[in-house]
Amino acid sequence: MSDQPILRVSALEKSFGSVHAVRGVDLDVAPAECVSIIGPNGAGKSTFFGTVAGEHRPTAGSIEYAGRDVTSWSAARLARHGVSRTFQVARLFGSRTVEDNLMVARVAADRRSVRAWNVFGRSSRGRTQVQDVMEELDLAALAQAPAGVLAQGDRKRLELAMALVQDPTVLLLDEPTAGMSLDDTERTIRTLARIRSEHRRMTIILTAHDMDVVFALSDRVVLMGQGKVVVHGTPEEVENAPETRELYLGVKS
Amino acid sequence: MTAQQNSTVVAPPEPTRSPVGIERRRHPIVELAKILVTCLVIAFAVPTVVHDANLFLVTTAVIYAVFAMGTNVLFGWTGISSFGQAAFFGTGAYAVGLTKDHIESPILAVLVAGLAAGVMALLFAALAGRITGVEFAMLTLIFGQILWMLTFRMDALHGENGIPAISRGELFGQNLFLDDKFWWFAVIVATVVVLGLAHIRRSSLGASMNAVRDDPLRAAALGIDVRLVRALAFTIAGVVAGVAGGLMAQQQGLVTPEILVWALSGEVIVMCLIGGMRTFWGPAVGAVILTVVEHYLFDKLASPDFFVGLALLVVVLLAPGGLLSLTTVFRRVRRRVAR
Amino acid sequence: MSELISAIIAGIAQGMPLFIVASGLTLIFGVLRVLNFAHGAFFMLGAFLLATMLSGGADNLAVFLLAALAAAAVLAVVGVAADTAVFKRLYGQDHMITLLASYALLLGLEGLTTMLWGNKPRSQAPVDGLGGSLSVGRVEVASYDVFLLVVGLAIGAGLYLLLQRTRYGKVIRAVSTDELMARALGIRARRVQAGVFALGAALAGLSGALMAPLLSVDVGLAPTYAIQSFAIVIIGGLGSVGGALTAALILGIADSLMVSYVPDVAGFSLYIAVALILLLRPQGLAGRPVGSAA
Repeated sequence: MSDQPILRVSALEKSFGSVHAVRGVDLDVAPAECVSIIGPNGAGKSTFFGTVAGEHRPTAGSIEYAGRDVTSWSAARLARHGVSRTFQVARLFGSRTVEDNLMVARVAADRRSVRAWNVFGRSSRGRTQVQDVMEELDLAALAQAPAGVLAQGDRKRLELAMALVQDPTVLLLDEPTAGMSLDDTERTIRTLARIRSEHRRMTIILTAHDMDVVFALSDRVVLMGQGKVVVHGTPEEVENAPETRELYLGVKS
Repeated sequence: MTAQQNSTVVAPPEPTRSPVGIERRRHPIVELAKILVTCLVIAFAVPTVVHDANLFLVTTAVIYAVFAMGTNVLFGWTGISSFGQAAFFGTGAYAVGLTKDHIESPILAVLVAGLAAGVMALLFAALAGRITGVEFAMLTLIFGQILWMLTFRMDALHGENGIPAISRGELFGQNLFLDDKFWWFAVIVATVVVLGLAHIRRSSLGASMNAVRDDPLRAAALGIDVRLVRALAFTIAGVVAGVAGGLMAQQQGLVTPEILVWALSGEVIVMCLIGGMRTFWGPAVGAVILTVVEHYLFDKLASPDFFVGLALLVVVLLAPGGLLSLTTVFRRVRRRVAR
Repeated sequence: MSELISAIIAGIAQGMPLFIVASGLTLIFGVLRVLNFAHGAFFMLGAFLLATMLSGGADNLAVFLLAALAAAAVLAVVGVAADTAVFKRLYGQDHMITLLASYALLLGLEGLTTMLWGNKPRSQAPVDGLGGSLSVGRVEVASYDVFLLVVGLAIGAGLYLLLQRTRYGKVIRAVSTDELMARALGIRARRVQAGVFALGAALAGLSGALMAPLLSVDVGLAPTYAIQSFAIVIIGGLGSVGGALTAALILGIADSLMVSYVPDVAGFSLYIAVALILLLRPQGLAGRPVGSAA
């Protein structure tokens, strides 16, 4: 395996007017690694995540993805090159079925989304991939259900499925267990662990508040505070670091 | 700009009918065949019951139906609002008018009309860049006005009096001067356009248009080039509007700046809305209704505007999904009662 | 040189009615969050009402002003009616629905006008004594232009005082800036909306009445002035009365100069300006797209 990081973030800064959300972050992510970004509210995790995902343009610094400079790339361009993301609150196409939602995601990843001469959903390879992901995430029974009527837990799973069906190189998960009950959280952790073991080459970067998620999945943890990296390392290292206690004034939430 | 301010989706976000998944959708060939048959039936049936001046009126209605269906690619399919579609309708009409002495074939004339309008639309979309939402709608309004004013001012466009004496030409030996011959020509062109639109609707582009309409941020995060999709939608709508405009020039025999007037841009939106923007045929239905009703009201009363405005208000306030959405409501009620 | 000054003053004067009608629109935008197409119809109705009240004949200034104010008052009622019947019901709905409803209202009012007043355009004679021109040194100015200038400045000052120095003005600004917060503070936002509609429509009607002697009074005024006031509001900045004033003045002067020196291009200036603003500075001259009612 190459030593090149799949993602290299250098001196990244992002400000919104006078609000400096991200103040200089360096991060190297190795291929197939799972990195969690944690930190208290206002630490800049979401902004950092959004900037890496292409939602915001960095104010300064650079982002390299598989050796290419993607600093100015839009979210769409990143997605077409293997960087898929989920949203903290599931954003689904409510008037379409579960299967259609996934098909749209798949077609977009195949860079076929502006083809006017084909028939949507008729590609057998695409349908197979959609079918596989639906089974993997226990959505097969809901395939024909309109996404708008799904229960909360199903919505989050569909959200995850939409990212997964794109067969991403890098998967960005924005607070995958936000607002979930204990049961749902545990189920999601198991699902994510299973996904990790089945997609061994996929890199995962996630933001989280829940330490159970972080410990169960991460190879490395990055703790952010006030727009900068406070400490990073393995989950145990970060948990025991004095900086962490200082930042949180307590133990894991 | 808040997300709310940028929102331009007209129809309610909830589905007005249950979405039909990939499994249960009919094969595209079947769908296209059904449309072809429908158009042929209309083509044969209408001239048997309707004659002379009424046939002329129905032909006009069909032309507006084409215009409306093209416009709905923007409103209903992609969630783009444009208050200047008359600009492209007019471009098509003027293209036919300006080339009347150089082009003999009516089909070629209509193609040129569509092409001219398409190029115009593409240029506009490129110029508008990243602008969306209400600002974009205003830009289309402005663009339409500028084009309208140009037709008055520019000598090359023959000014206020327009271009008269546009001949309809001949097709397969049939002189289209006769209204019942022209009816066939108009319906054939309309059928081709409708088939094309039906195909696009079922394509990946069609699905992407809907995605851009429903959640542009989400669509972008998936890798869809939102700006390109919007530009394509705008171009398609422009081409169809141009074709319709070309037909209008041929049918009326003349072109004046009136064809670019802002009120027409508004009317076509009303047609889409009344018929139902979330359905395929809705805009066509709305166009036929509005054209026929306006014609008869215009005879009886001095101002169709009052009733059109009132009708639009009623639709907007009570049934924003348009008339065709009411059939879905009806179906749902029947199902519930049957249980 | 004196011709230039003449043209400039004429431009400022012609910009004033545009400012008045646009200020109404921008105020309504502040609470409605959409540009109201029917605003052009309010302008048109103002012109029609004045022409009817004065039967198209000339009259002295006092009578003219009275009639203009009466027209404005009628439009205030019309504005409230429009709000109650249409816009209040669409509260919270998608903005495009509201925009389309306003278009429906425009059509409806145009139709109503034709039904009540017929198809023929009307004319309104100029005010007695203000029909000619004045000479200030070597500069010639139309008397009516001076009148418009004075009225425009008075309205502008009045609006400034209302919005910045009165409690009601503060309430209006609060609702325009952040309606949710305003309601949380106990402000009856819906009532404010009705009041603003009354004021906005009255301003449009007043402008129409003032312009009646200069225009052909017919139904075509509605869409024309809908678009014109839209343009001024966009250029000035949505929600900003000060921006509307600036935009109206600049465009009035530009148009006047063009009519004098490059008549072929005149008339396009407004549209070109709007297009440029939308492409280069979409928030308009006054900056912030949301909020400031002044």
